[in-house]
Amino acid sequence: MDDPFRHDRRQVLGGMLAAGLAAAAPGSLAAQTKPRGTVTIWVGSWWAPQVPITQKLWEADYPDVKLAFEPLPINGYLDKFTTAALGGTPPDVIDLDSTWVSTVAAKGLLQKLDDVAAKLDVSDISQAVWLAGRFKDAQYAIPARGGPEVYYYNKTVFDRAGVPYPTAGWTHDDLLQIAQKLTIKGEQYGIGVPADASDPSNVLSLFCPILWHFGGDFLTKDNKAPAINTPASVKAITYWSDFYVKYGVAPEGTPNFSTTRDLMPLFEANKLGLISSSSNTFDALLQKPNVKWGAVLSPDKINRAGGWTMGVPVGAKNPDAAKLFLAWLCRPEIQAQVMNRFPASLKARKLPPWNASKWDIFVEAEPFARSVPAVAGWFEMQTALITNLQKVLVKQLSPQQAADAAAAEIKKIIAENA
Amino acid sequence: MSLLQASPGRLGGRPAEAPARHKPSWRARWNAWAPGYLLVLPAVLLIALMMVYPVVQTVYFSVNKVQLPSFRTTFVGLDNFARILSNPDTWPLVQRTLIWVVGIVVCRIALGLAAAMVFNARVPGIVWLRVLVILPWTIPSVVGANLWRWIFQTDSGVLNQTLRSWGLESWALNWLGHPDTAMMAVIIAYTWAGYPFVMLLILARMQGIPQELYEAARIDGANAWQQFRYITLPSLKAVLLVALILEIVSGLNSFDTLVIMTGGGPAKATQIWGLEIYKTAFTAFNLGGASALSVLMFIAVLVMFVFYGAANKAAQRQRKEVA
Repeated sequence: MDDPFRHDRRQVLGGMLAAGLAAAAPGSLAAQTKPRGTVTIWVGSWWAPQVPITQKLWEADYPDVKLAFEPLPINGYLDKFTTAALGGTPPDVIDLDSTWVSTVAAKGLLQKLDDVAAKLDVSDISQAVWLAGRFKDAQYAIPARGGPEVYYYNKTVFDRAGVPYPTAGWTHDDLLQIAQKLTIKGEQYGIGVPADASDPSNVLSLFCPILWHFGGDFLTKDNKAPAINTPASVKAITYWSDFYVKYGVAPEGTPNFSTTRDLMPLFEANKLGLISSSSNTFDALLQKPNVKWGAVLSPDKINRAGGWTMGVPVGAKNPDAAKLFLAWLCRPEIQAQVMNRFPASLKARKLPPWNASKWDIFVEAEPFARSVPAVAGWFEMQTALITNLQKVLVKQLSPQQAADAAAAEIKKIIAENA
Repeated sequence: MSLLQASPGRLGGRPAEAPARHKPSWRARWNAWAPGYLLVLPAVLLIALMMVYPVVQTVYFSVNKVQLPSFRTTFVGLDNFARILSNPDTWPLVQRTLIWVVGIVVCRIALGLAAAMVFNARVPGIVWLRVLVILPWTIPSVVGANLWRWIFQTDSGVLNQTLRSWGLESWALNWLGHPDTAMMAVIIAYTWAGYPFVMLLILARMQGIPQELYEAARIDGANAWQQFRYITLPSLKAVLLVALILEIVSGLNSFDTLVIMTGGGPAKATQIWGLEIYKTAFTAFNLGGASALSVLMFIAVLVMFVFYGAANKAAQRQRKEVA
């Protein structure tokens, strides 16, 4: 099959362009391959306000290709994509949470994007989220949104309880104490603990840093065995679940709560003191002038590397134009204008509006960000873990029992995906 | 010869003058029926294809390991079934599915029957009240499920706020966040969304019951309960059986309400068989396992309806003997 990028490279080598113009390649490529048609793009619902500006900028560069965005709610987002992909009707571009890429790639639902990656200045892209788009030494997704996790605090809730706001350098011991001081049962709660398996990434936003802080992990270093039931991991599960089970500093209903659907409304209603989240929440709160809030680095600084990456599904009807779009979106000046969440491009972060001081917190947090394992079957593993974590919250299992049950399931998943 | 002429008595043509005493030959019968069969053949083929192909495909997948995205299959025999039956989570899954189906069938039929009796009254404005009560059925399930999710919120939900304002603090439970109450809460929401359909079915039949029967019963001194027990209920038997079947199927197929309200949680407390099939297929990407689960459900439903058919025939025979 003809590879348009290889064809382009030949022409470049033929003397039309000098080597090293990788960043400018998307534009030149378009001029030569004359892409046409429509590119269907599935994205999270937060993209909705950015769709007109994205289409406008794109049309200026590529008037013959239309971008058709479909913003979707986060709950059940991946299920919708996999259902469509297996049914043979995937979009041309799918925006994926960085924790999903390995699972989807392992099932053969994404095309390799090494040809696109070869044209990009990788040093300009946040490494944590770039690596999350890799699986078995191949690039399957190109990041557009980066952003480590930080903590958001509600000033009204803090003021009502007479508790000083958290500051950088606070610890997990401080977190527990603050959450306890903030809680006035039935009126306001210290911390939001997402635990709904339909929005697993946000569950991990809080859980991962706690797990890593206590020295635990999901898998062993070689990714060949579970490590979730080691003493350190069990200690972390105990700390995490005690917010709800022992101390009651998380709202009632926590076992079924997700960040976007349940915790954010409570935070905005001044009933919740702290939530852990990405730049997603930063932008969402900027839109709520009535909420008095602040953001602070995670306790002990450790956090989960968030981010969203875009892939081209197998079966995409317009893959060439889709790849062109991915390369176009990586241009710093485009990403700076188009994104309403922390961009993955380091150069974009130095352009307006991202060079404003309010975004510095994400730059400060990034060196302490870690990613979840990029292994086959990861999605199943996190579902197994979250289901067992829920069992701790509803007191069906102790942390050790839940960890052992999760480890047994993870071991089986590793074997099945070997 | 036109098709109509060739199909005497079946397609509107005149009855054929067949010999009365002799059984028509195979050829004569074929000549008589063939045009009719030919006419319906495309539709029959289409329906058969639409119904049979997915079933065959599911059965085929259930004895194979299915590799994605090519759907390449490797025969594994009954391995997928053995895994399901040896899984310690399977029996609790069966129990939850039974609780769910029985719960929604009983609640929807009971509420539908009660509502039909109320709205069968002949009073001014009853038509508008009927329209009003049908509204839950017309609301999209996604909207209805989210509505109930907010109602059942522990801290800020309407239900608990109301209970607390009445001084019933101990009744304000963690409805969706606790395994003991989550199933009940979802059954309530699902009942609310579907009982108007049952009500409509029953109401339509109730309005066909001759009033003379009730008048005669009243003259004979029958009280309200006796009228219901000996006139209304027997008259509704057929429609109640239809409602029963439809609601069992609806219960087994239900998906969106459960996904939106609880996602099968907490701790799998509301994960029923249908949801397990979906998650096995699209979260674990195990199409072979999901197909095996589907085949097992298909067999269970088939057995249930065979028993139902046998029981129904026996009841009909009994009624005929009594008559």
